[in-house]
Amino acid sequence: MRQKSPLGEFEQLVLLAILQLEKDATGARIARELEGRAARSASRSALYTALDRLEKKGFLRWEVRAATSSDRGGQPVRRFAVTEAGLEAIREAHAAWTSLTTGLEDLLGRKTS
Amino acid sequence: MRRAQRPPRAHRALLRKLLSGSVVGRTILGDVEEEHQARFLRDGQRAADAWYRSQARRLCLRDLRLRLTTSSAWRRRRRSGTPESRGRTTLWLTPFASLWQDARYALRSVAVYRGRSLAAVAMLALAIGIATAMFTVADALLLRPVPFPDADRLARLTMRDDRGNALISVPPEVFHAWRASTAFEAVEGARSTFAWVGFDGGEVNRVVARVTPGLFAMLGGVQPLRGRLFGPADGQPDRDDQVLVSENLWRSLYAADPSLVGRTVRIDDRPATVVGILPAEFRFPDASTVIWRLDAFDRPDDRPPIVYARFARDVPRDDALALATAQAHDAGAYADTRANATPLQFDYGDYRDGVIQMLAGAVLLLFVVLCANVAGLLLGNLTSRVHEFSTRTALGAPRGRLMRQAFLEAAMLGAGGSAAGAALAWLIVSAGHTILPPATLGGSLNTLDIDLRALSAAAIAGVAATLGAGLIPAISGTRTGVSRLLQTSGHSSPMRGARAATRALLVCQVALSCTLVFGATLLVRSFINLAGQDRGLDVSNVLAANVGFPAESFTTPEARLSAASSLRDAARALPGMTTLSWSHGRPPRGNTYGGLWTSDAAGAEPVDMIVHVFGVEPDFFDLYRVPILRGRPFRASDHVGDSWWDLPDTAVLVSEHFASTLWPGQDPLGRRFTFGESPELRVIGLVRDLYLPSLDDATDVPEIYVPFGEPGVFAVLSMRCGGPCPDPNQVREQLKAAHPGGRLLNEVAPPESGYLAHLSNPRAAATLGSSFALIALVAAAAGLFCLFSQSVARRRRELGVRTALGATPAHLRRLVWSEGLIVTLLGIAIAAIASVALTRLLSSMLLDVAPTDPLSWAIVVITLVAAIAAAAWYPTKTAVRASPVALLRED
Repeated sequence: MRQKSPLGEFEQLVLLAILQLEKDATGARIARELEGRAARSASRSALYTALDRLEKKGFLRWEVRAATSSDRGGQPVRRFAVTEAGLEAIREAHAAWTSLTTGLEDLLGRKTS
Repeated sequence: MRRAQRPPRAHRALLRKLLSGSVVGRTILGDVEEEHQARFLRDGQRAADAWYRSQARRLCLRDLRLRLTTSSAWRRRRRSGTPESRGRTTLWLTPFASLWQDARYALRSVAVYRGRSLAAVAMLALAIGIATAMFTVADALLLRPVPFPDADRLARLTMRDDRGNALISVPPEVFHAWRASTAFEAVEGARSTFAWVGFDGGEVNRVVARVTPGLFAMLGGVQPLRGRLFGPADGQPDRDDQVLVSENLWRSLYAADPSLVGRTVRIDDRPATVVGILPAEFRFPDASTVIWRLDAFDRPDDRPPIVYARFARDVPRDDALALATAQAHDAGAYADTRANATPLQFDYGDYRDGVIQMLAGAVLLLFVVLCANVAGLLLGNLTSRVHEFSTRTALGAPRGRLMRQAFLEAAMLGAGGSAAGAALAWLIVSAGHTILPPATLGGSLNTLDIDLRALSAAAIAGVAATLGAGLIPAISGTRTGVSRLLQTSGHSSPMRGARAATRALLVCQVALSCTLVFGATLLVRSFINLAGQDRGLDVSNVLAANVGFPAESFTTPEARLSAASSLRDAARALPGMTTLSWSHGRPPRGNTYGGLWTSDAAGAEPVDMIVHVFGVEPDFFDLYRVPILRGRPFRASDHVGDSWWDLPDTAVLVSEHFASTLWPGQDPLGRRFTFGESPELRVIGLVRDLYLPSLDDATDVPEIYVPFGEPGVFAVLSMRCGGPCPDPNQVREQLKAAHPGGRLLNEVAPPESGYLAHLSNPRAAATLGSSFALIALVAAAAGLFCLFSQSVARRRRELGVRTALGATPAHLRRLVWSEGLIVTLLGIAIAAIASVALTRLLSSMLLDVAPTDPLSWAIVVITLVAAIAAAAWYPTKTAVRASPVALLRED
């Protein structure tokens, strides 16, 4: 049986960004989402490596579409989507997070507020 | 309108180079371009470019890492057979998608080294083309049986005496007895002669075969292109004016006119109806036969047929022949003769077979030389190719991929060479009829078609050599560690073993081409000796016409003599004619008489030999410049109106050969002799021997000359001109006009043509041998040129230092030459050993040329030195002219 792969922190962020972007999750948008919402400026090399890893784990799938804007130099675009397994993994991670943060709201809330 | 800003050019190009090979890579390219544009609008160009540069660097590194890890993982998965369920979705497509890419890469590589690639393709084409053509010829002439079903049951029937001599022809009675016999499944007759074939534009002299109607059925598998074959009803005495025409004649003479069947053509001025057209592939009884004419061979004055038979399946051959012998004796054949069957393949003699075998051997050598050259060419820039492959290995290119690219590159060259080789073979074989003389080629009953087995074998061998040489750089490049390569300078090769291999190849090439040049020199010198050999007579400025006096037009000897006299007058009226003479027999061949010759010496044993008998007029000896050594020529009083065979005491002149055989060491003048049952003949003079230009002394037979008497049904009119002779066609027209009711049997031609058949095989051997040697020599010179060029390229730095230190051009030249000289000397040494074996093989084809002949060796050495000088000229020039400063600066 395939061993369940734990989600790394950056991987969780990437999956969440894709979920946020819904059907607009291209490489460039994901990077911008991470930068805008999570203040994580990752190199493109790291981002694509994470995407490849998530795909290998079966948490992502993608499809290639023809270029829609001239900004891309005529290159095609890859749209990512989270698979059921990915969604399950992020739920598990979120549950673990919630369970571990329960009772620490004051401490965490003060810092984040 | 907002204008898209391009990222930094160099980094963009680098990224494109690395990533544009796959769809995913292209989406990444698009992503970073999109981001660069966004950053350009937000932060300005400088910041956007800086970002792009940093991302490009990281993505490149990532891509290299990925190539190494993913491909090895992919290989691992392939080995374990685990299905590729996840990971890069395009991965399973890689081998196929990249095949096209590899093919394009290989094509680019071929284009980059286009000079060398072109030379390799040309050499390969030459090797494959010549080898295929030669083996096609060898197959058609030597290996393939005659092109008829069950060819082993077909045979030519002759009568042989107890001494094994074949009688000249089978008597008609015996032929008819055999036809009626049950010993064979079928017995048919055919006889080829020359005849004048009329068409709209005039008439031409062609080979016409008279055949019995059942011949085609006996051979089997003959289908006419148009019309029909002869049927059983044909061949009746009143229906013998029907002919079949060959496709070749139909196309060349009658412009492929479909209405020819049923039309009348004129053959020897007699009308004949065309009943069918036979395909060009049908060649029988001679390869050059173009018309088949019905003949029952039952007229007594006809020349008897050559007899062909098909053995019955259920009668053993010995029994059939024994029965045939008994029937022949019943039909009146000599008691000491018996029936004999020889296979239907034309008997070409040992020389022709030897020539074909020798040429096939030469072609094999040439093939090896050319393939070695192809390999040498491909190994030529081995060092740089090995560098290329090891660098690419270090950058992460998988070994299999590199091997595949090298394989594709070599395969492209191989395929190109094979295709061009097949085209060349087709060209050579098509032109074969003009390249090869009829005596070499024409006798074959098989047509020349490209031998596909030979073509495949040659192509496979050629492509294997190309692949072998093409894969070596890839094999050693992907094995050699890049660190080791990087440690060495670009100008000095780490591939000592490979260089040694290239040199060994060259030594072989030089040795083989030297052997070929030596063999060709011997053959050419032999041919020159043969052509210049004393023939015992002078045929320059002589024309001869074969004239027929058909019995139906000329019924008495007087009528024939009168016609001969008026023909002589007509010939004499032609400008420039000085001497004319009628004869039976046309030098170099008289009429052949084989049997027992008995001298008048006491107790002399009869001598069994073949003698050429010429019936000549007194002027014959003067006309042909045959010296009378002793005694006197004929006088008018010696001439008799009838055959020497029937008259006693006929005066004859004999040749030295004849005299020394019958009266060894004695004076032949005044002596007498008999032939078989003939009356006695009296020797009145001794003349010089006539010689054929032949390697075999046995072809020279003794001659005797008897008085001409009268023309009979056929005689030869020889004409000597004071200077160059008039146009033979003009002479023919003149003679034809003066000879109503008679026929000119052949074209009026110089007797020289009688010698051509004897010279054509040696000439073909010498010509083809020299051509092969020349090609081998050029190939070896090209190989040496590569060696010199590489040597100069490799030692540029050294040469620069030497020039800077004051080395003279002569010194540099010596340096460059020394390497080639060692190769050449080694090659010549090996060739000298090989030549000993070669001359043993060639011994039967050589005339007055010794294997140690200094002139031949001088020719070989001079030719080779010239080839080396030509090969070394340009590289040496480059070496001497190069500026030392520029050379030293290069590193």
